[in-house]
Amino acid sequence: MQNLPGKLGFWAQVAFIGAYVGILSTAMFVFQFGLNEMPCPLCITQRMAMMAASLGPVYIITSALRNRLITTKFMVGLGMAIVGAVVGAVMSTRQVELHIMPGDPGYGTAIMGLHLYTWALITFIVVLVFAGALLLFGTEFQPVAPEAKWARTLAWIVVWAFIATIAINMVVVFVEEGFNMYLPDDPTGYELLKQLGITK
Amino acid sequence: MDTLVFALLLAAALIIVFVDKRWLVVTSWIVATVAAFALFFHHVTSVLPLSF
Repeated sequence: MQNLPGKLGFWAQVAFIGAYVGILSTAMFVFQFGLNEMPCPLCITQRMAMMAASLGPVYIITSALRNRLITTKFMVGLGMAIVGAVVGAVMSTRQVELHIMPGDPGYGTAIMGLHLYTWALITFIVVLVFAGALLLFGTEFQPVAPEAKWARTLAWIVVWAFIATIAINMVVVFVEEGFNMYLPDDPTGYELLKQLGITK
Repeated sequence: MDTLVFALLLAAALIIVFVDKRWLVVTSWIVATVAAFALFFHHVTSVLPLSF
């Protein structure tokens, strides 16, 4: 296969975005809507950091799909992923430390013994290892977009699913925050619905 | 504020998709990321009683 590392690099970036779309969607649709666990302010900022980190691969993929990906853009995209992951790791570490004392039940439901903010920290570390590993190989895995139409369409679908995820989060957090400046430290409901008199 | 930060992230994403200017992509991304970190900083209101 021609330029296998480049194609692997392309799909690795697509998988990066797809994974965060899945994580962010699970946080919203399963935990927030399904289990009615309101995300705290720190949880929301960690979602933002996941999105900031993912914008790097979005930049790389969209440039590759337009045949305009040069090494500079590849490096810029990886830089965005690394800095976004470091910012997110700071946020999730803070929340882990808030609940680190023995006997503290933590915030929200645990999955396989770990709370969502701990999983968030793990995802940020994975991003750092992913970007570092790519940089170790220089431009070897610089993405090359596939030529097959179905493959290009699939990549665009993942990109737009990610953009839709940001838009949906924006709307939902507006309903949660209402016309207040900030979210309460321990949210119990949707402020906008209370302010509009829809719920008590 | 949270809604505004998501709006900045959305704007950065749309700039990446529709505008192929590197300085604009990087600037919009920096603005959104700094805004997210500033929001986080606002919520960090106390020193944790921890000693390692």
